[in-house]
Amino acid sequence: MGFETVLQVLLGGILQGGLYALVAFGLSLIYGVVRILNFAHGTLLAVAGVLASAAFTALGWNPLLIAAVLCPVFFVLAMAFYQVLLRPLERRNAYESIVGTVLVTVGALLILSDLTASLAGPTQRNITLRLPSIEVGAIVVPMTQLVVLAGIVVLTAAMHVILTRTRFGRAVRAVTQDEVGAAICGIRGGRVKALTFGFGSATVALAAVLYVLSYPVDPYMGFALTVKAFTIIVVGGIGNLPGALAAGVFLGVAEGLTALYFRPEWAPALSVILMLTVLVARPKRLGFKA
Amino acid sequence: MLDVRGLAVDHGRLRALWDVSLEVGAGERVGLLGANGAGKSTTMGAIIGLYRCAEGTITFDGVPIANASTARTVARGVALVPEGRRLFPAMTVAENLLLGSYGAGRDAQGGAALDPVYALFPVLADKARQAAGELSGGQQQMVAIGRALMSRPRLLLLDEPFIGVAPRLVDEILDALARIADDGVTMLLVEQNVHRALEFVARAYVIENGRTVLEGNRAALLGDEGFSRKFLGLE
Repeated sequence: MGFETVLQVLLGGILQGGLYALVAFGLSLIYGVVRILNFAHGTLLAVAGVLASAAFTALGWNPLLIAAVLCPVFFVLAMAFYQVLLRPLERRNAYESIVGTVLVTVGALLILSDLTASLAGPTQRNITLRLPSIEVGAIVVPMTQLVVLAGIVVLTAAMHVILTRTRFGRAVRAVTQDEVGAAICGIRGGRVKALTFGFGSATVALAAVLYVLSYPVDPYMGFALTVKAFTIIVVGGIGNLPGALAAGVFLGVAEGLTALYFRPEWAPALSVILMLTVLVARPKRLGFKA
Repeated sequence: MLDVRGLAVDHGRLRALWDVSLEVGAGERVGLLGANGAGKSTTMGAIIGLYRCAEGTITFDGVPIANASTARTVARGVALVPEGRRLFPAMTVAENLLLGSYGAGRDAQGGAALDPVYALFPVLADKARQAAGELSGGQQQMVAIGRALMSRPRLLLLDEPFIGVAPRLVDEILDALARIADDGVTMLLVEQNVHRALEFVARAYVIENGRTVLEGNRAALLGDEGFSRKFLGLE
């Protein structure tokens, strides 16, 4: 195995990890503000990815247009999902509300996967852009990978700006750090929770478009992705954007190297092993940071 | 200005407040005294809409505010410096302060908006870019008071503002509170230390097991035998 192969795997791992981080960051924003573990979060990427590839092959839309349409649609649908199915559960007692939200989000996961499979077929799909490759010495870098990498960078930067420079972003961080403190500042918790649920889901729709440009998606891939997102949150810290990015890239590269040097079928187990290791060895790491 | 009558509040299935009544006139400084668990913080929380009122009425400037949303009540001119401060520890001092004016929609303004708070607590100007969680207890309390002032309240509710504050800073904060009151801000103060409270307020209410049991000015309270036995017995 040559040097170039390793470099290719590293680049692939960074891409994959950046995409994981985007998914994880939406999930951790939602958890920080709404205090709900959304098990359907990764499935949103699967659904958006399938929709994106269908729009690309059947309608011939370009990926930017697809992203521009999917983003607001996911924002509105996710907000409605929260308002109608999850918000009423908050008024129940702690036990009912925890069990209720798990059932609702796992139920959504199953229904969304099956619905997508029955409408679009259970097969893997992706978007293949015919872009040239760039050769740097002996290393061949497909242009698509660079486009996706740029997309990841732009999305991460945009999220950082939204969280630190906008009124909504400040409200999100305030509610994450102290809900009572936020309330007495005049922040309407209910509204911020609904908006955050929509925002976190909309970022997954954008991540999905980047994802299908580089990897195939299928309706049933969502839960594995959600588990990876949980791992990244545990390792990188809740609401911590740089932490999520670092943990995501670490996971992506580790998966790539495992597939390269060991066996590909062990790569998915890595995230679970990593999460359990961190949880058992450093439980204090689960603090909030935003 | 503030009129609380027959207030009852439930925490889940437990009744925390049974019958609390108090009145605060414009420009007054009033204390709310009582033992741990008597219901002082619950009363403050109910006034600002953090807890639902099961019975009774709360009016602010004649407008009923019982069960109004906290955001609404803050916009009407009530602010709370809560027990335990409830700051945003990972955000900077300046961000914490700016969030205080969130409800008023003025939070986007930078720098100059914070000058009145920095004039009151000069040390906060030096710590503006530091995370609030890294400050000392007394400095954090200054941030909590400054944050509450950012909504330009007419009524300031202060819940145990001296807990975890070094003695040297207590006087500094008391001075600042006196200046805020001199600017025309009405105050309702919850305080464990009865002597300190009665130095600052003109009169006070005493609550016990969720009920108002006594009201009076400094002399009347200190002259009351039951009050002295309960609150000053160990002195």
